[in-house]
Amino acid sequence: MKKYLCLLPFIVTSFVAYAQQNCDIESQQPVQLLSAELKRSIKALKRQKPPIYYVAYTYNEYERGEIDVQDQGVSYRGIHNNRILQVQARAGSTRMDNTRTLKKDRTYYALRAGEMPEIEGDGKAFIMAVWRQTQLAAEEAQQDFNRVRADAQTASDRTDDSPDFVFPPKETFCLEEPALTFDLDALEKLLLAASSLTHDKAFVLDSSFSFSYVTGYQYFVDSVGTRLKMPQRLARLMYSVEGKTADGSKLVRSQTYDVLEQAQLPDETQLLADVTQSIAELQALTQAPEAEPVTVPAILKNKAMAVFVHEVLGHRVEGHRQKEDSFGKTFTDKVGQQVVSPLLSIVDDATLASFNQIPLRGFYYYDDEGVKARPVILVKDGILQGFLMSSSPIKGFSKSNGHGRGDEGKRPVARMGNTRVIASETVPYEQLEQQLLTEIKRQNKPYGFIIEDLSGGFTLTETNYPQTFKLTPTLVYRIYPDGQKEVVRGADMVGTPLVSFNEIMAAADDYDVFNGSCGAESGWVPVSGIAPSVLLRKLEIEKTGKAESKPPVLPPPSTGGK
Amino acid sequence: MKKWTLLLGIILATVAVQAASLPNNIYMKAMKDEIKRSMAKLRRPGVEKPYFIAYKLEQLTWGEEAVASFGAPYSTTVRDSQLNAYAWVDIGNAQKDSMGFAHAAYYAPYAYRPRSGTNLPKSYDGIRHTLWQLTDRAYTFAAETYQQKQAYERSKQTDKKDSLPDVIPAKQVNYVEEINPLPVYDANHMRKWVKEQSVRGKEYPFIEQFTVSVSPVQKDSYYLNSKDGFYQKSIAAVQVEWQAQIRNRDGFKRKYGRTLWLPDFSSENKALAATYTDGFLEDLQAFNTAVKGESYIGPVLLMPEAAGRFIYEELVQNFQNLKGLASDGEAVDTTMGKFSIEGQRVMAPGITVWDEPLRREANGIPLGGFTPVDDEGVAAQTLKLVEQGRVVDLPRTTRPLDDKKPSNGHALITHQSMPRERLSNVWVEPAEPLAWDDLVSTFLDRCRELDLEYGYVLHQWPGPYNENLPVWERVYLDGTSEFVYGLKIDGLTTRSLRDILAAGDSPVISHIDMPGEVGLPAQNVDTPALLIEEMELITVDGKPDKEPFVKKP
Repeated sequence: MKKYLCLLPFIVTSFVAYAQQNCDIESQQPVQLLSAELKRSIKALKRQKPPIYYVAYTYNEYERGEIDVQDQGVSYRGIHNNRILQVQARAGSTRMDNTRTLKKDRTYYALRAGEMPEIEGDGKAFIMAVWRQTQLAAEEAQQDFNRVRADAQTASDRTDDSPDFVFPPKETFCLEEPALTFDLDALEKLLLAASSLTHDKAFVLDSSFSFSYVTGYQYFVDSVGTRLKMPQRLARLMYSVEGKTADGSKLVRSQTYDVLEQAQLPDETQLLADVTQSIAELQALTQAPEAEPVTVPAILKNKAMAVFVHEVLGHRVEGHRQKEDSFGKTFTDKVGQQVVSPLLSIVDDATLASFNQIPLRGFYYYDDEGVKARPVILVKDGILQGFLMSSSPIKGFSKSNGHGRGDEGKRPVARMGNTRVIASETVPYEQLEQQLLTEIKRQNKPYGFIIEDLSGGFTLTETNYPQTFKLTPTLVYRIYPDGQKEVVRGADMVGTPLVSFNEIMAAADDYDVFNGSCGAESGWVPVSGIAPSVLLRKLEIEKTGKAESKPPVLPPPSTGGK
Repeated sequence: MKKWTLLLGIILATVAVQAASLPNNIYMKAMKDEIKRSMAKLRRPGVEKPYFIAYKLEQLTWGEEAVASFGAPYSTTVRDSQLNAYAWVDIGNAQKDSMGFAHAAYYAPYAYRPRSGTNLPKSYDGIRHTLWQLTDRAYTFAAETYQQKQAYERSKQTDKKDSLPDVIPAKQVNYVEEINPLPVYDANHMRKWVKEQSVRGKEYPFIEQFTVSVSPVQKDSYYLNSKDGFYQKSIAAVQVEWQAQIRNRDGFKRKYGRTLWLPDFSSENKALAATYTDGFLEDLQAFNTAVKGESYIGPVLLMPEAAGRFIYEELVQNFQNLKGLASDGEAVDTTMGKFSIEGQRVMAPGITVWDEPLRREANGIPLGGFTPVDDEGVAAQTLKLVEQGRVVDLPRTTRPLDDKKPSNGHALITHQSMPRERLSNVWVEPAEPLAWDDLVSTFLDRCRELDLEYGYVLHQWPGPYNENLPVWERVYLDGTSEFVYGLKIDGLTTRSLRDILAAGDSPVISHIDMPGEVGLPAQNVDTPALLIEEMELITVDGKPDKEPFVKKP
């Protein structure tokens, strides 16, 4: 029953996301100009040798505002209006084109992107810029295709010889939403007030408080006939406080708030309370004992679990990693097999706009290849179902499922959106902690761990390296069999994906959201993870590396050290 | 008369330099308080305490810019200023200190960078916090370098009697000028102007991209050291830029850009800038109709802007970084200048070269090289560098050259180097300047003497840091001319400075823009046209670019 209740909210949200087209795509001036130029040029482009067989334009028109504050001073405040055109040109054929990853040479993921003039009058200056960018992109695509062709002649056979591209279906979509507006003066005051809390804290060596937003539209026009207009809306307040122990261990506490309107931001009282809490945690960390390498039972709290799934499983089920021989392909041949604890199902659903009133950064209507977003079941009851797909087919998966994503100026590859973990059975969190204590005693271990917060980490997916991960928790408690907790520092989580995911014994009902940005071949993309806290039968901890230098000799000047 | 005016200027500036008291603003106060604390208390066990600390803060403020292409405006940024900080710490003493040394692990000049921070918060606490961190890092770096330098010196034979001190202390001075906010220009007015200028590009079918921009910018500098040398100065200007890409009639794609710095965007200066649009479009037209060049050895007449770059590359750079960095590695300090001995013959006779750091403008054009006090707190002096073709003086810092002469206030930092010898505003003065017609006659006569059919005039130097095209004009003996493309200078050396045959009488100031430098360039060269007796030009290989796949709309 609980499982269905969990799924219901995002079915409703998905429906809302697609029900509200409210503008006529054909009357949008950028779409008209881009379509006209594409229509004028595509025949000539297809006649080239090698042919430019597909062209897509992504035109982003948005405002980006930012305020950065440190030490009670504004280090940056600015508003930039952007008009960026990105051109995806494909040379060759769907069978083999310029985007293929080279075996013997470096692959470039850069896409031609350039600033555009405003559309004024007949838009002639805009069209000129489109024509010029298209020409450059086409020339680059041809050069890349020649490298691909040369590489294919001498490189070893590809294990997966699927085509390089499948044409996306023709789509039209037009949605307008109110622009995000924020009172930047009030936000500056709020950030300055929060910053003042670090003023006399000798253990706070660095701090930053910032607010940024993006509001505008993305237009997509391609040679298949897809025409899209989608709102771009992201806003985030974040802060971090940093310290260092006497022996050089770097310590960080940070917090982010993703919103879509000012009212969703914490008020001053709440923000100051949160910052105060983070400063207290940082102080506790500076005095905390260092963790020892050990394998013990542990709880991964909800947000930490979301990051864990993203890093350890999510990247390994991105489609292109199953195709290219340079990757370890941990899961490539495991469709239909159990890969994680049968307790868990994992869905990547970019159509989910929010969860528990928290806007999800991984939400989008169409991906960066013009393919409609949809929920993709990756794992059901522990069994692998499929992969995140862009328009680059792989063996057994011939079509995109709307996960071709890339940063501005980067060629899209398969990426995550909103990666959601659903547990078939859950217990209240307090009960999960009790189960942890029981497991510690059962294994006769001196203590276990609660991983409260995780800043990120890395996972090795290339075949030249062991298929391991290393994640960096920023707040970890050691919990003793009698229930006492002690904060520790310098604990990194390590392991291998297939083993680690099968150590999950139980899950809590405390689903929460991790909103972040993920960097990979196709640049930085906003992502979200939703997960419950989970109990791991065992988790391997190793020591964190230390910074190169000791903390400064003198205390920070704000502490009165004159 | 000219010289007297100049001397008076120096005297006035010197008076101002010595009279100021430390301004009471957050920048100076933060630097003063952190220097005081660090000099008193910064001490790591086993390491000497700082002997000298210096800070420099640079605040860059941009006004609202205007950019347009073919008559359509581009998006712009509205932003506040950017505050950057530099810090360096010296330990030891004047005889033996931690500076002037580059550890082997690095390419020598890279090992000699000041510790720096960007985007500092604009608050007393924020600036002090950053200075505290930078000072600690600079102190750690100085401690490591001091050890490495001592070990290096122990490994070398040294003659104690003749050995140079590392530092010859110099009198510390100060200079303060009031810093006003960047003037606010009417952004709509600027946008209208760039639209009007850029729309003219539509008239030329061979132009594929044409952008005109106007950006007001101001750089405020604050400097303080632990020996009470300080300065505070500010310079505002308006940058106008033209950028274009063309495809000439032979099918070669070429980029071309020019920059003009103005004191403001008054009607008069707008009119001046508009004449640059004319000139820019004429240059583009010349590129379009230019013919492919052929190899050539013979006289070349450098027009003032090309001559400015030539003087920078062959002369200015050889008067800088004169004291080489000692290093325990194989790395060679390639930035070290060659003109380090007084009396050395470096140019053709009849040319005098000055460095004038106390000038802040030339014919109304602002000069970013204005330097009343250098980055060691020493009063900057106007120098006559070259007279009758020979070096008569050198830029000096407190780190003496072999002749042990004291500093003359030419120690300047860049974002890539702690203070070293550096020039700012370089003036090239021919003893017998020729009127334009006479200069051309001399040029063509020389071609005749060499039995050449034509000679070359270079209008724009192909800069290594910009994408400027060299603009060559082939001038025949009868005075007719045509523009030429596809040539480059081969084997240019300082020899060409000694090959200057004649110079014009209409100098032009060239702002030397460097990569990574924001705001008005800190180095300038003012020179008339120069006739070089012989240069070797070679053709640039290459085939025409592909025709566009689709016709230009």
